[in-house]
Amino acid sequence: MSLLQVRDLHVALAKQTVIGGVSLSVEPGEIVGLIGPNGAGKTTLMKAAQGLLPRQSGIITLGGDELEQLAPADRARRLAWLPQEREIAWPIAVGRLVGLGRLPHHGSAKGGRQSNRRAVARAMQQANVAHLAGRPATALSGGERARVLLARALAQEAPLLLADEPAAGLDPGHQIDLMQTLRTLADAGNGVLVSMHDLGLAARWCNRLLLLERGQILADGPPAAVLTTTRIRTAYGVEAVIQADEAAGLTITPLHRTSRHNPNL
Amino acid sequence: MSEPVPYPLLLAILATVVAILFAASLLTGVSGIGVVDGISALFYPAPGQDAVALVMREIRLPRAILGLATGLSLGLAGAVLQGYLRNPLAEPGLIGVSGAASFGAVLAFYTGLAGWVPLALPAMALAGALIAVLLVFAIAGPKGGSLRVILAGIAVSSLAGALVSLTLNLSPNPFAAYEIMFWLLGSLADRSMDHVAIAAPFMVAGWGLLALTARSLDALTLGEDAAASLGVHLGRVRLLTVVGTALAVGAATAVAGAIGFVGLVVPHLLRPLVGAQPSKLLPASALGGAALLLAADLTVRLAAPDRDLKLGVITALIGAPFFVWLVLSDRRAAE
Amino acid sequence: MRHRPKIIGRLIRSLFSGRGLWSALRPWRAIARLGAAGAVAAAVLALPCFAAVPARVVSLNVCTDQLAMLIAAPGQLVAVSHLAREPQSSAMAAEATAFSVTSGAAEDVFRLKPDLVLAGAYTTPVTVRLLEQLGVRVERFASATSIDAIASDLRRMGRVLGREATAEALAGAVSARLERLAAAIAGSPPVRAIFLDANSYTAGAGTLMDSLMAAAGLRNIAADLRLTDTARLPLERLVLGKPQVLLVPVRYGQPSQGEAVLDHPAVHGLIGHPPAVAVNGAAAVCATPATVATAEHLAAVGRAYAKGQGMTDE
Repeated sequence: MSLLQVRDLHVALAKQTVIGGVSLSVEPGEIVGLIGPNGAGKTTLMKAAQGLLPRQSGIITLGGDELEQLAPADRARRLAWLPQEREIAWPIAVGRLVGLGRLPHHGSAKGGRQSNRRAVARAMQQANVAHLAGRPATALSGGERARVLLARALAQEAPLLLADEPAAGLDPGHQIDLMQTLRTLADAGNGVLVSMHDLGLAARWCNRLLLLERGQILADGPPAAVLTTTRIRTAYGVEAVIQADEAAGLTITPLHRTSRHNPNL
Repeated sequence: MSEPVPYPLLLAILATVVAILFAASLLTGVSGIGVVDGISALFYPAPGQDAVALVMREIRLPRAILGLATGLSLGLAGAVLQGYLRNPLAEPGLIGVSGAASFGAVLAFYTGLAGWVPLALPAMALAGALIAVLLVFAIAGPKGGSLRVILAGIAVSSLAGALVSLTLNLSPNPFAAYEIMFWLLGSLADRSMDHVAIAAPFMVAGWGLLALTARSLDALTLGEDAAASLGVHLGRVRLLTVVGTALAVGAATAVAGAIGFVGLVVPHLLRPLVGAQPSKLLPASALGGAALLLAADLTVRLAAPDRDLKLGVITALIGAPFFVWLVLSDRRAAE
Repeated sequence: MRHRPKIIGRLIRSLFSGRGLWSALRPWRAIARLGAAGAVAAAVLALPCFAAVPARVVSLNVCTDQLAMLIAAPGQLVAVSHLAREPQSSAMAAEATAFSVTSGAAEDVFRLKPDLVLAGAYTTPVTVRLLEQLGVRVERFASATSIDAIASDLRRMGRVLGREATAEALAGAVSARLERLAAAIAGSPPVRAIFLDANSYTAGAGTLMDSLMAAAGLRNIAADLRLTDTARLPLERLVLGKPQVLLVPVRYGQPSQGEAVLDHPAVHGLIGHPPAVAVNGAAAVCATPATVATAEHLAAVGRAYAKGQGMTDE
């Protein structure tokens, strides 16, 4: 059963259509990369897919159940969300911040003190932030902050993770750590939908890519099938060199703007 | 940040301080009633103790209760507003809620409406507070940054202050104009059990609603989207915050006037002690607010027993330098 | 213009004394405000300074208002203060409606072309100073602090208005009533009383109210508490003072926090024991024959209380 199934989703913001008929699914064990230029509607799609934004039409199911039928806490136990803004309002201890991921389990069978503690410890281990447990969450470096927030989402122990540009602002080492963590998560039977701009990273780590442009899916499939020079030109307005290599996998090198590209589009 | 003091111990210390200050409030007054005399007159007045019993039960007890309840309301509302707006400057006084509540109470009181229907006093104050919170939230927007919230608050509180002054100046009763100070600075002088009776039910209801926000405020530490994804119903938190603040601060202001800075200073001082966790800050702030207001009211009575010094003067004397310090530390952090 | 040299002198002095130029220029500003300044000022200044019988009298103080209304000849009193019509301050509010009312601003007073202005010791000081500088005769009456002032103030008002005979008759009657009152209360036990005014104020020693209470055979608890003049009386001290008669003022129609203290449950608790007597506050503001009437009334209340309690000499 799909962890997430979206059928014919339409979303309008301020009377402007942002998502115009998108269908997608995320299965257990896969990392689905959501790629596309700025303003294509990636964040809107991810938010609408979990009901954080109102939609005009479309059917969304989480693990086979319709989104609207689920209580907020129930939904939160099936889907974790890592927003792009790495907001931490108060200097609370990292351990406690990660513990916020346990809120949806409050009052449920898995919400006991013991299982909460274990889940938090596991999440901090996975995101490699266990050593930060006592630090104020506002006094972290950018990379630490991103990992701590990832740990918070992992602590939710939902079978599906939606992450909005989690790799943004991370150095290559931390980017690889991040993707490795997501890989481990998927290998354990979970599903991940992750938006990203680094096409090389996306190509190397994702099972499947969704190319979104102007609110519509331009392509959906394995990275090698989705990432063609033509599509990159159409979607991003850049000329790119794509190399396939046995050892390194797919590498994508953007070169320059396509001459016909109109930046206002 | 982990707490330097275990949380239950912190709450126990704060509760003890409140209890001591409450007792001190009961035992402090211009007429030197002895401790034993006062306490016995309060509970079991002896035949000759009529006058002392009257002083203890009808003058000092309501004052102490209102000091505790008003401070609790302001401390709790401050902590909830700060948590909800994720803004350390949000405070009932600064964002104009107290001022608008004052205006509502002034309308009810000086038109004589409250004379006919005593509940009109807290009800109108509550309405004023409600309008102010909604206005500030609406002007500042859902993700109102510090600046916008404070600017909106300044606009609302200046307007409310002007309307209070205007209404009182227009009153045909010559005493009214001199009562601007009461409504804009607050006082617990000469309050009675009648005041407790009309305000307490609203305040208690407000505390209940505000307390229900605790877990959601924790989640809001991560921002609105993340909180919503954690199962927090944002509309419900907003409603609880708005109505709870209006109830607690509105009722407190209706009987004690607008008292500023309590909701700013108390959550700030206590935040490091609870590891900055919003849900833990609520009970601590409530107790801290009660302690601060009881202490301020004691100061007023001890410093100038025959003068009816306004409470807001003391809280502003503490709060204004604190506010400056906050701005400076914010600037240092930004630089 | 007689004023010019004086003004220049003030200007020059102000330069040396360091006083504000602005305040030195005050008379000029006033004259400028008076509209047809030159002509009017000249006309008034031309009048003799101390006319034997003033023809146009303006009163600026609620106490001189009442004395003048009692004594002045018909048409002699041109205007009274606006407080004269307020029952909370004036015992002759009804009578005052027969007179026009002045705001007390120099401009308004000046337009009435008075040859005598009656003022209190502290009321409208700016107006009074301006009028004096413009040569208008001003008679100041000090605020009364004792009922003895009733007769003496009446007599003085008689002299000032050239109505000695009328004043003498009134003063004589007041003195006779006070003597009768003193005889009536002689020997009766003092009843403990206190005046609770709005905003928890009370009248201590050295006030007209204190003197009035003494004349009525009431013992002023505020004076016992060593309060002097008008002083704050926290509710606690009121309650513990255990008054037997509680005097409260006549209220304004609209509510105020200041007057709400009179409704405090602790005050109500007291009222259970002593009767609360609403005193027309106006009677204790100014020393007039109405003050004597209030003293007579309070004496009756006190005697009735003592009788009801079976009190004997302490």
